[in-house]
Amino acid sequence: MRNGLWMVLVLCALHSTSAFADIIVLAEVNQGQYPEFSVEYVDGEWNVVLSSTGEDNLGGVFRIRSTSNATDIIRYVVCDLDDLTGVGLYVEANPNANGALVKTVKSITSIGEADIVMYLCETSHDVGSIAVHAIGTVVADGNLTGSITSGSNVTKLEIGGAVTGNVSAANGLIKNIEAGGAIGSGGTPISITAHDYVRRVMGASVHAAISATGTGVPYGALARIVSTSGDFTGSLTCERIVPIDQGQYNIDWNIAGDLVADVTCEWYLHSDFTIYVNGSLEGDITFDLDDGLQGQIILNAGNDGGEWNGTITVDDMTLSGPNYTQTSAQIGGGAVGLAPFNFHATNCVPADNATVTAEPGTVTLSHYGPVEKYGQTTVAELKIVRHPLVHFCAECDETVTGQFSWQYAANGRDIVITPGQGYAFEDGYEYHITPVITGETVLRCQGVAGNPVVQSYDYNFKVDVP
Amino acid sequence: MMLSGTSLLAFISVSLLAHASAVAPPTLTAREIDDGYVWLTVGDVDNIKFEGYFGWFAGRGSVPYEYRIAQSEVLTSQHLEFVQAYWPFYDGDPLSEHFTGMFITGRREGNGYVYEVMPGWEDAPNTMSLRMAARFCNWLHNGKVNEQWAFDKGVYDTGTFTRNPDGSYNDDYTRSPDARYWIPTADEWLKAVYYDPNRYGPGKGGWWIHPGSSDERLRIEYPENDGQTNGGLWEWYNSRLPAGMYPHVRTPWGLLDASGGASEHTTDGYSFGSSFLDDIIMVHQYDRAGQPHFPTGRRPETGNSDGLRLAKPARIVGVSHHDR
Repeated sequence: MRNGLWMVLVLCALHSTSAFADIIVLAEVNQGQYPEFSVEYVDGEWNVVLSSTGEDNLGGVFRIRSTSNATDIIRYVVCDLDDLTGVGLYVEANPNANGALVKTVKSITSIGEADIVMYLCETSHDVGSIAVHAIGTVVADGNLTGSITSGSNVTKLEIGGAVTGNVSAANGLIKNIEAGGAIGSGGTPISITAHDYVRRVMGASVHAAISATGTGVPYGALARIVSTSGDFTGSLTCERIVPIDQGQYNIDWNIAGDLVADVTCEWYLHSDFTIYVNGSLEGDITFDLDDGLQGQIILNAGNDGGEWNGTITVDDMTLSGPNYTQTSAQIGGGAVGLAPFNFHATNCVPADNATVTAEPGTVTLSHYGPVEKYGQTTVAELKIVRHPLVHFCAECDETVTGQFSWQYAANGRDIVITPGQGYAFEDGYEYHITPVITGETVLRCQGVAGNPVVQSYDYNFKVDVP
Repeated sequence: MMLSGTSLLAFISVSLLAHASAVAPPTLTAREIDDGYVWLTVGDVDNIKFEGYFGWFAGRGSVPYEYRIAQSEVLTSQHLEFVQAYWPFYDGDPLSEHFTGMFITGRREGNGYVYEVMPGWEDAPNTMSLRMAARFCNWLHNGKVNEQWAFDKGVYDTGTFTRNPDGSYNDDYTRSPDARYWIPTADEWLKAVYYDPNRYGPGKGGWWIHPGSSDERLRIEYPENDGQTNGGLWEWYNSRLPAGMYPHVRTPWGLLDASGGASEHTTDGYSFGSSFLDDIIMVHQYDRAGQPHFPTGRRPETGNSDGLRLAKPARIVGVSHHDR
């Protein structure tokens, strides 16, 4: 019955000539079909060839297991199958042998016409190369030493050690690559390539050329990059850096070391997205469109001497260092902040040192990165002082903080200051707004280790109504 | 002291009941509270065992007691309360997915954290690690007391949640005998999803192959297109997949979303059931009775794509004891 019953037809357990365990191949095929496969033990390793799920090629599932934990090494699994309905494949724990796992799988390939769907490949040590139609989950306590090549999607690579082989989903997507060790190496970066998107890449350090090659929504996207202790080197190319799968964890980058990779984003960094670089920017970041930088980049997020050494370009505009002059609106609405953050003079409204000819209803104090108040509710984190435009004298300084209230904008960088009832940013005065950076109540940086106070600055403007 | 007629009758009743229940240990009255879950009782004690699926769980699936299991997986809105309560005691990253699951967002605010449900995902099952699921059960068991001990003990001893230098884990998911909430065992989960006490006729129990009381694969489609499961239907840029989308697709005991939703933790080191996050071509295989979904025992501290369906004791009809 084509759509109905499946049954186990063959249980094949070959006993090796060694003292070690056996490899078992189980086949689930349709009734009346007789699968064909071979298992050989050569020079201490197993060679498995899957040839047929039966003469009618109605598809099936093959399961490869060991009988003793962590001793069997599979040199190759070759799928020479022509079932157009597709064939499933597991390299899995053996429930009949206390969950015994294959130690290592060096290679899984498909040379027939069937679409091989690898549901799970689980080993106690290493996994080498896999090249099949679709890859579900690969779990290895050791290293991923070979290339992963999927004709469609790669769901999850969960590797306890290092990833040293390329990962490709040229016609689909890559969901998760998570490694306890390094992904690639400084001397030998790997490539991670998908068409639709690359959702999450996490390793101790990341040394890779990462690309999402598709064009047009929903393709060509990339989300989360995490290095837990080292640098991100190599390159990254995509259309959009956006949250993927609407999950919080598929958002933001956290680079524990330096961002050395060159990043090219053809469209935009999403406004909800933050790239945290604990160390320095050493690579170049390029947004091809003039509204490409919609989100936030934070450099020296580790607050440990990180620097802005690379170049950040939005369309034909180069952001010249931590106190760049382009406004957020000019570059897409986002910002780049080198912690601890300074105020963004040109992005304030009115701009720093400006003279306005009408009393502003509100004033926006802007920073290069997100800020927050820390301390007592009743103590202000800003100080507002004014003095008359004419007859300036030190004794003319008047602290007017209490005449104003303020709100933090959704972007976290801007503080919108509003006069209280009966007060105003009055004509004939110069206003100075400074952050409180000492004492129990301060204005401090968000998203930065230790939440340091913001830089000391003096934001000032004149109100001179003709 | 002379008893009134009513009191005397009540006293006699209590005495008779006490005598009648002497065969079974007397228990305290279980005062039912609305804990926000719909509970289904799984009976047919000592049912016939599952024959296994390629050796997977052969001889399992027979449960020698009644128990209750939730009709739906733990929703994101239900999980939120736990996340908000636990973060002050959590020694990991309070913003990691392993803590919040996929559909709860968190942010630093002042000295603490604020959490919210991603809009539109309130009624979707959230994901959580096996260890976090254990703490969730502890917290429920302890009446949602927001203190460290209430998350650490009660059902599962989280003191066993340690890892050895060789990478192996010491996690012990043996539940306490008085557990009020727990993570289903594989036996309990398999029975609740695939076993039917009337599979072959009234009183003739047996096992189905697929969730939804069926030997046929469920149709992967939205309800308006005659779908039966949302397994694999995830579209990362545009989807809403609340629990209970297919009210007409139930296990023999009435469970919803045994296929699709989130794959579900058990304490046997594997999760079961397909997820809407799975590649669509893999859904039917993961739905197959006995086929585990992911080896959660290999990484009990990671979130994966697994959710939680709670279990609890069967309803207790007890007797209140009076000291004389």
